[in-house]
Amino acid sequence: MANLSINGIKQNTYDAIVVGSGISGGWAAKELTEKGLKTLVLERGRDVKHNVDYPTANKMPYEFKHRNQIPHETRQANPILSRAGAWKEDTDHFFVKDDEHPYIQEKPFDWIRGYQVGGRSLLWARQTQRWSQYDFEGPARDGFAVDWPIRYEDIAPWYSHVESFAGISGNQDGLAELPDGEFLPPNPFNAVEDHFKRVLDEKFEGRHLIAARFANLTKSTPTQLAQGRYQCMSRRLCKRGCPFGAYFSSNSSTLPWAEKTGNLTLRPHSVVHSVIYDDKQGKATGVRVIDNLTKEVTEYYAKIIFVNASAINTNLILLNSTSKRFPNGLGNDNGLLGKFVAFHNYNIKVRAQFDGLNEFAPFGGRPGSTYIPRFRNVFKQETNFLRGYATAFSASRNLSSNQSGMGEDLKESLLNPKLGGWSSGAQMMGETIPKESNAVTLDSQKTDAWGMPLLRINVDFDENDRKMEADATEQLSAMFAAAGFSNIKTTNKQDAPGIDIHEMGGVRMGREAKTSLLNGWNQLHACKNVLVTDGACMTSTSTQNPSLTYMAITARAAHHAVEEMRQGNI
Amino acid sequence: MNRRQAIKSTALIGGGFLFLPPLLRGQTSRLPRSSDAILGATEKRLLQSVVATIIPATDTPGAQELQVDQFVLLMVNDCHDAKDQAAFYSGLRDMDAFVAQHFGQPFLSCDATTRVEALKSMGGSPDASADIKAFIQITKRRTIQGYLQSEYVMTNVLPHEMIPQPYDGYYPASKLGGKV
Repeated sequence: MANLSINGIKQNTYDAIVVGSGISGGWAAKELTEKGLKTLVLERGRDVKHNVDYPTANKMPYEFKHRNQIPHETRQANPILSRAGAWKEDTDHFFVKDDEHPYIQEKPFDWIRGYQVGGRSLLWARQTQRWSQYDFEGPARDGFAVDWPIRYEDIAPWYSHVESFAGISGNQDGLAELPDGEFLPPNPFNAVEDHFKRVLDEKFEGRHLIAARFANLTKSTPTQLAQGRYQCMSRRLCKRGCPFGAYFSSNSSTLPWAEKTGNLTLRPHSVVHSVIYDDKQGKATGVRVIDNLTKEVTEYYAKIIFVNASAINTNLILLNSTSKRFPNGLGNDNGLLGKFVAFHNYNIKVRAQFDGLNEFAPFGGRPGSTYIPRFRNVFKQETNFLRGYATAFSASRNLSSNQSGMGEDLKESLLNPKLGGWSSGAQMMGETIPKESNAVTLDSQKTDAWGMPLLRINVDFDENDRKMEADATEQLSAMFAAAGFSNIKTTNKQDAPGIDIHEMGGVRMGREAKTSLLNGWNQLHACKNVLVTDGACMTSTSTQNPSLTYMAITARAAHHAVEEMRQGNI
Repeated sequence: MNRRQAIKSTALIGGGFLFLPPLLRGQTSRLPRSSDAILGATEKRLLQSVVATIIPATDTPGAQELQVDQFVLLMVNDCHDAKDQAAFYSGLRDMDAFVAQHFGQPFLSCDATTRVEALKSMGGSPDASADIKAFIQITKRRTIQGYLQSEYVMTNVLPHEMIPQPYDGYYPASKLGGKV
């Protein structure tokens, strides 16, 4: 380990350390630096500067050698990454290749990662729905996992805080199950989406089609203009990085904001080995970092440590942070660290056609689509499975050409595409129930290129998920049929967990130190100056895309931690 | 807005989320190939001619003028599996015998109309081998892709607009040539 002089220690000492620069780490950095804390952000990958490091952002389709298709051999070499639909030639540089960070799949689990400054905030799907009181009350009401130590009222102001800054579009829909927020103008519906909405309103009590809330700037307010972020141009090339900064990412928003305070130090290429726990002081004092390139080990010190390495890597770091006091991983007195991992179930898709409203066609671009909030078991238990699913929905009508010909006929047809009929598609987004058996552990022998123990991932679906899939298939089909959609086709993708890219849990929040790792302020019960506010902290998953909730939880925890530090409590 | 702009803008519309194709697991690995080593001068000319027949030059350049044959080979070599590659190269080698047998002369000696008939026949005839059918299918698919996504077409014929028009979910279908 590092052997530092007093000066060296001083040089490597900050007020706060944030491990990870993704969507939650970026928020921790912003809040802590704004409060005046000298903050070190450690990122295991390379730096990605807004705009400077978006090499494909303005490329035309013909500028990609294989017209955006990943070559066959590369796909063969990356069976895990190959399952990520967003992995193409234009985004290749933002995804981790399978052999760069191996892990052991005790059961199939597609772990999709982005190791660079900004992490997967560059690549996310940008849907930002709030949780409701019914989501936070879920585990207690239905008797699974443990009770969340917070309720909707605790986090509502923090949702507002992050929404205003990030820039979230949406309607004030007035639904208790999906609370309203601070919204920019919503994405518009098209004729068939309005039709489907009317059918749900008339024929399906409690089911609502709304504009999905999205982190694309449908309008840039002074708050975003101050960040150098402009209105979305609907290019729908977000995952390349946006030249307009029109979708929220750490790179376009929180990190440059933190940098402007003068309190941010960003250290890329920093693989965090473990959190250092001092038995004498009874608290964490810093982190051990392995340089990604030189493999040199350095220690950094701080009063507060945020671990935001992304859910599974946060588990890895804490499990690897052993000391005399914590032989089984930091804060792991109850043996629950790494357990109760959960995810979202996206398996059911339904597609159909619609022969109607033919006088209209959608035209132009929009960055969002529509959404049906969870309607199953919201206010009371009413099915043979627990919890439920939200649904993504969109309708479209495309120009296409008949390609059956050959020669001049074919050319004529290709250059004069015809407007086809309407088609519509829906996809479930199901809550899964965290279970002790769904866990990540460290392999006792195998290590990676940096000497970190390999993770063993043992996560699977269960009977509840299969019942929910059957219900989603039936209900989505019924809603489509009621709308007069035809040729309804349902698919069960039968994906392995992980490909939802919503892995959560392992370091769950809870009221009791006996049954959870983190308290209601995201501090480890047993080591209060270490906080976890990424997906690892999630006690349950609900159905909403989780990033907005990570942002709000992070901002809330950061404010509390700074207060606690100033009062000398941590 | 003119019709071409309309077409390109509308091609960018749609819903907000992707339906991803199911991914294949456990494909056989492909053999590295170089088309230079595999194809003789005649076969290269043959492929050029097939590509030119699929999308000919008219008042605008066709696929051959846009070097789409090179794109077809690139995609076959880099983006197809070993099975497709074997079928493609073997189909390319075998096609001329089929054409000679059914159309009385080699493909390159046929006139333009006969070439079109020959390709249609190879794609659908029960007499054509599976490899010849696969060759035609792959070549046609990649020719269409290479042509439509060529710089020339995306710049001059159907201009690609990176920034689409603002969204209108009730745009008159008649303005896009759709049925009403």
